[in-house]
Amino acid sequence: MASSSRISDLTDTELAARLRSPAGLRIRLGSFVAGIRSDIRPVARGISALYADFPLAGHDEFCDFPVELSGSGGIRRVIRPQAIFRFEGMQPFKPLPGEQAFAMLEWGLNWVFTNHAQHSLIIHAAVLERDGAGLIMAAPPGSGKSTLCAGLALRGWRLLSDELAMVGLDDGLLTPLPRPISLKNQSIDLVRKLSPDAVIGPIAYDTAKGTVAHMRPPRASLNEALLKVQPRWILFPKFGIDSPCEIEATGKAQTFMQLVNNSFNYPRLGTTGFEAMGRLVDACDGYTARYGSLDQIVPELESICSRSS
Amino acid sequence: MAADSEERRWALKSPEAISVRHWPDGSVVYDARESFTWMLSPQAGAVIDVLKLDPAPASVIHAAHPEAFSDLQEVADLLSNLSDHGIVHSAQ
Repeated sequence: MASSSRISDLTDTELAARLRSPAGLRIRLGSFVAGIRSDIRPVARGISALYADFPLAGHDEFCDFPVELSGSGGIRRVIRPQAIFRFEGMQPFKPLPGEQAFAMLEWGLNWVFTNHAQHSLIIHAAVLERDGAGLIMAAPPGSGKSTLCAGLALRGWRLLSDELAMVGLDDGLLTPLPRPISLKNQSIDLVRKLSPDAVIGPIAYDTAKGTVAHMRPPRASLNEALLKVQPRWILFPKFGIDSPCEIEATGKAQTFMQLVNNSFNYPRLGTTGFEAMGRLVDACDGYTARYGSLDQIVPELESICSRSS
Repeated sequence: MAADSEERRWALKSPEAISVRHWPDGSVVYDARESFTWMLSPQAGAVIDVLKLDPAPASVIHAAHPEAFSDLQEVADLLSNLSDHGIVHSAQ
């Protein structure tokens, strides 16, 4: 099969066969190639639903990240089966219930990129682009970042990532890594109602994060997954039930420190990370936002971005 | 201000390991030796800027950044405060 083919070109049987093959399903994630091996049916179903538009990579291409999702052995095969995530022989997480296998694949890939992607300052943030300018939304879990990210992506913003801002250490540009958007609890129905075009994958119940599902990334975002973006805005969003919408400019020193708190690899990068973070902050306007609904914040945010782009 | 405190020279622990960036709302300092980042007031950032070059007394810091301080006593108080936090130390 040509390397320009997409996952959706594979039949269910072909997809399952590739997932079970020694090389795994070779898939392009931005500028990286992942090799996914799995014999767990929900993983194949999740990939079929949410990675349908992702390009396949050729078997002869270098695989940056070989990962495996396998079922546990012995009695666990039949009684309360479990899923085990492995990367290059490492097993970074405890096994999870089998029905959470696809969510585990997503969390595992996040872990792999966070810990092994080189040449980038990596910040826990959703990243989108409009008119060539990048918006970084950095926040700890539970801040509504992914929901806001999904809302903007469904309004035509280009999705770079809902989880990781990868800032080039050399060029300061944002590297796209569009993947399914992680949604939790009430956000799942909220996003479903936002657009009939939203494709939501399998739902995993009773995970450590509550009920979890993922939204398929817009195809247009995947088509531009190799185009890096100049960062322009940094937003620290905080959702609160019934909270009025307040967006305030944040000073650059304060922005720097908040980004440090949300960065995965800043401490490891030393002075290089300090300089990269400084350049990022210099290139962007920083804001802090409190909001109670997407209806409030999206127009406000788009207005700010239109004025300053 | 007493003569001895005017002449006391202050220094950073490891100036070669210190990087600093300045913005209107504050300065961010990175100490590569300790792998530690902290935010300081713009005035404290001005102090770090001078001491990165060489140990200096309060009067030299004041002369280098007269816009940042109302008087020499403010510099001396700030140095004392930075010393309490282990950021600078007396060089004599």
